[in-house]
Amino acid sequence: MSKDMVKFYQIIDEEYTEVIKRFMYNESIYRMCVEDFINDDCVDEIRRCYYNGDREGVFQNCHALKGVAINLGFTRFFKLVVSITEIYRQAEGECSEKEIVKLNEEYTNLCTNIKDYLYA
Amino acid sequence: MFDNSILIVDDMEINRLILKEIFIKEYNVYEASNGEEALKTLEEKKDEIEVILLDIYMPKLNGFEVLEKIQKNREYINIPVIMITGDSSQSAEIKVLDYGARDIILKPFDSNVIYRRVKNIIELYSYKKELMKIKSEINES
Repeated sequence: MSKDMVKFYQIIDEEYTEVIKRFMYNESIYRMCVEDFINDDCVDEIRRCYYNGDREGVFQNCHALKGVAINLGFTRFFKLVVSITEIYRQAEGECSEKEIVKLNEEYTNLCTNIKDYLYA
Repeated sequence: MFDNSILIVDDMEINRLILKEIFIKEYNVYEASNGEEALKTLEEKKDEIEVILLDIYMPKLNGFEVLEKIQKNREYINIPVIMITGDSSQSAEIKVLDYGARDIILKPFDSNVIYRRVKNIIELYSYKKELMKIKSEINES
């Protein structure tokens, strides 16, 4: 599995070795976490909360997602989540629908790529 | 069973899994996915737990609320708490330390740093407990 994931991380400009080090080189734990990430409903929840005007919900879900994204080494996606999180950390203001669409697109692409390499 | 126990409190399973993997070979690891669960585990295992790794943003009592309850309880007040956060700003760090946390762990996790920090804090805590025991023995005699 690691050989395919090395390729995957090269595609997203990251180092697999840096990520797996975080997991104490335990690939089964890493795999479990990646599978959790692709099956997580945080992004759906963020969209749902955004369209329902639930600012706290958007913030909570973004906050949870950003910690996971950075620990898995998905830096580009992490930065996108951070930018939305910071808007909702303030007492007022909300992100544009474009940003929510972009977040969903990035997440979908990331999941598609992960599945291609993880289950190769 | 090992001599030392750690309580990991984080609503995200992935974060708990990473932290657990760092310590599982040397410590008994207890997990809680929210603040309420953390306080329940603490009540049951208070004599065993030597350090708490506590996330800040969680449902059902956030990290600061849990820390506040720990600080108000004479039975738990000495148990060292290390807060987990993705916020590396100086103000966040000051707030965490002001609330009474012993240290701070930043995301993304650096396993080697976390391992050493926790190990040091457990060591200091065991010395503190020993000193407190000696002090109470002196007071009694």
